[in-house]
Amino acid sequence: MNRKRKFLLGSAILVAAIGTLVWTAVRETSAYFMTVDEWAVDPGAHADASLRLAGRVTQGSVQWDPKTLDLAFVLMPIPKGQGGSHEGRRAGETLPIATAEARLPVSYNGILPDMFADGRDVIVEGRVVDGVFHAKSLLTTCPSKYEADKQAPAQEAGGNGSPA
Amino acid sequence: MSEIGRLAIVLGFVVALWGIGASVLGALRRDRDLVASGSHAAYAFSALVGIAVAALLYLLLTHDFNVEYVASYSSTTLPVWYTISALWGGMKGSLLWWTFILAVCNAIVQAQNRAKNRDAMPWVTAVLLSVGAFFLSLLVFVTDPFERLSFTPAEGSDLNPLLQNYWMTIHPPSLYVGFVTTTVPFAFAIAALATGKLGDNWIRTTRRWTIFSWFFLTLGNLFGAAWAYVVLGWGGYWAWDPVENAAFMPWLTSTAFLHSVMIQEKKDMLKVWNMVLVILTFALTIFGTFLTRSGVISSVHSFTQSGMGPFFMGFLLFVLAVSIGLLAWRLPMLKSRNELESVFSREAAFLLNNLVLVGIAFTVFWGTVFPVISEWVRGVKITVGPPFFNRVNAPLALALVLLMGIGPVIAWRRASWQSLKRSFLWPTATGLAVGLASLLLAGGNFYAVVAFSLSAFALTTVWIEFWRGMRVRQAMLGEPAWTALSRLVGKNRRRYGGYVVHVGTAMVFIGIVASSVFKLEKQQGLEPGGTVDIGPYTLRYDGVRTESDPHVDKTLAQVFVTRGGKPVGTLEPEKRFYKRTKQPTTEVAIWSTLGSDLYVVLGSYDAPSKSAVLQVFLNPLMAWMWLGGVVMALGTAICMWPAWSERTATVAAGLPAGTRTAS
Repeated sequence: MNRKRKFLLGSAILVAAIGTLVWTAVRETSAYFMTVDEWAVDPGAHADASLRLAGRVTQGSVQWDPKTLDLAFVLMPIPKGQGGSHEGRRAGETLPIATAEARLPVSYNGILPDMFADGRDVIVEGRVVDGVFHAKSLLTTCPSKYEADKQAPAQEAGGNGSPA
Repeated sequence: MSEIGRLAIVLGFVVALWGIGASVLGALRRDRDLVASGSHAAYAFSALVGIAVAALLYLLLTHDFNVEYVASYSSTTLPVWYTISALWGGMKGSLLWWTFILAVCNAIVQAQNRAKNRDAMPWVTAVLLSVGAFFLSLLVFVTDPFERLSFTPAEGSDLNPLLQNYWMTIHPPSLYVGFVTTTVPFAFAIAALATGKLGDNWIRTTRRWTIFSWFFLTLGNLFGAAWAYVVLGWGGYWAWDPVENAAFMPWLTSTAFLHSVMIQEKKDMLKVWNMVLVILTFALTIFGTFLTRSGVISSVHSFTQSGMGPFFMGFLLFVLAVSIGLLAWRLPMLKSRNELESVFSREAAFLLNNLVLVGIAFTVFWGTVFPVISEWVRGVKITVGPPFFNRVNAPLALALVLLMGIGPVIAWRRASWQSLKRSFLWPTATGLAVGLASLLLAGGNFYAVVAFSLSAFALTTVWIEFWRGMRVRQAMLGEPAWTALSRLVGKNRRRYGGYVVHVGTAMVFIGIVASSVFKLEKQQGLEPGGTVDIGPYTLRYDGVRTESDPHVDKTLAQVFVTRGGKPVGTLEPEKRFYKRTKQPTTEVAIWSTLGSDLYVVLGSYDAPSKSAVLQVFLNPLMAWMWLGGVVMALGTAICMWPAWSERTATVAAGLPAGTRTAS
């Protein structure tokens, strides 16, 4: 029995070690994940935090210098009911006017993802400094990998296609 | 043809229900005719699903765009090979494909066990058909792959260009085979619990299925990594995306099972644990399917919010409830007859290895679902990214490599000091020497130094095992070295195949560590004639050339590479534009050597000025990862070999003597 207890103790130590690793890593590497409109409700609340923001690239806001790789654009909320999986659970809810019109300038340096363009949905990771979101990474989420451009054949015939 | 397919899946569903009922009833009433009827239903199910797959394939190849699935995932200009891969390129097709693989496995299981496992088989049939019926019910009631449109588009909207890659044609089938075949050991485990025959017969029967499943899970993960590496163009191959994690978790628990099952066979211990691992592995494959189909967790390659989520969640909960219920009911019968005797024993090393593997699976699970949990608990979505997974798993991976060196050679029960010294003196010395060398060469990166040192330790133990085994045969039987080596492996395929897998794993590990720790990266805007240096290479940008066909436009940058002044060749990183989907993609160019990969991305191209931005990575020892994967596959094949040779032997025995030599 004594030996068995020793093994249980050893296993418990290992489990505790893994738990500690997870705990500290979560604390130090986590980022708040929200949509632009959720962020806009109280911008001051996440002043210093790491953020992952989901939003849409505002039409006509993209400025890109292919020489320096500097990119600037303005992020806006994704109109409800159109977004992909990052939209959140409240699909039916209408946005308050104030947050629906939230606009957040984003700056980024690097190569543009293939799918980046006006009106695309993106996820940016970084921090807000002086009202500008400094993104260290920029991900485009095509509505989905498998279902992209699903509407194409349907639209030709007046939107009679099937929903995914 | 779509009507035939539709009819086949509806009939398949009905047949599956019949088979489940007949098998369960037959088992309870001990009615042989009913049990046989259930088995026949399993064959019929396989045939019907086969017909459905053939029908969908026919529709794809004949470009019947009136069928919604065909119109959505293919086009007339899509190459034939990718048209076939469109079979699993969309959600509906992938569900059908999944069911098909399961149906094939079911038929094989039925054939293998015609005259064996009479008590267990009805339950096995019922479990396999239940899982099949669940997948088919989605296709029959929720999302019909044979759905027709009210009009016929002139052209399909094509397969997503990111999926038009050779790795993508083999990655999903491999992974699905790996996923689906976990159902077979699960079914036998459930049957063992149901019948109360809890000896290790079910483990022996499913041993090769487990290895087979592990083989394809390994390949599936590696093919997926290779796809990400050559297609996504960010210089890496693994981003801890939920989709990747979903494929990785069953691999971890399956690896744990492959090890702990040896303890059960040799020492009759860990019975409950093994049951748990088999159930967990199967549940994680369903969970993975749930993750990728539900949109609950956002992923870079999020699939779709398909409304499939609740069905998979429901099925998962059902599976867990039934399994845990059965396990709890039979718990008293699963007592071990032996206990651990010493910390310095193979049992203890294997137990630790299991704890670490399951620990990694848990951290990956936790990191993947963390956004959902934090939203429940605190009302805010908090995500953890790659830094979390890397930080947590780096020390665990190191521990695993250490155990990989210890486990195979430490003595059973209780290792004496003498035997420890005999087994580990040289490996430890080699490990320390390599550690010292990499400290001097590679500098003060703690992880890299420890990782290389431990890998050397693990590789040396394997080397010594082969060496000693070979010397013994040479000395006792007078065999020449190569004969001794091949007979050594041939006579203990499982053991030495396992060692070869360890060598491959160490190589993959070395490749991962080197390519992530010592990666170099540069971005540079270049005019034609401009150069950029990275590591030993100099790259000169010489403008672009273009190619065009009805399917795709290509812009190929001409990058002339030299190494230390000597020309290496011209690399052509591309930008592509797929005309059907109107989607641009990036095709990387890779110059791969054993030492490093030169990985070149055409970041952007400005036609008027002919200037381009190149993104260049130097990934050290990257090739080790892929070669390690090949070695792992080879080792697993050695482990599986007896299955084939035994069968050939029985087949050959039934043939006239003359034909035997010919084969």
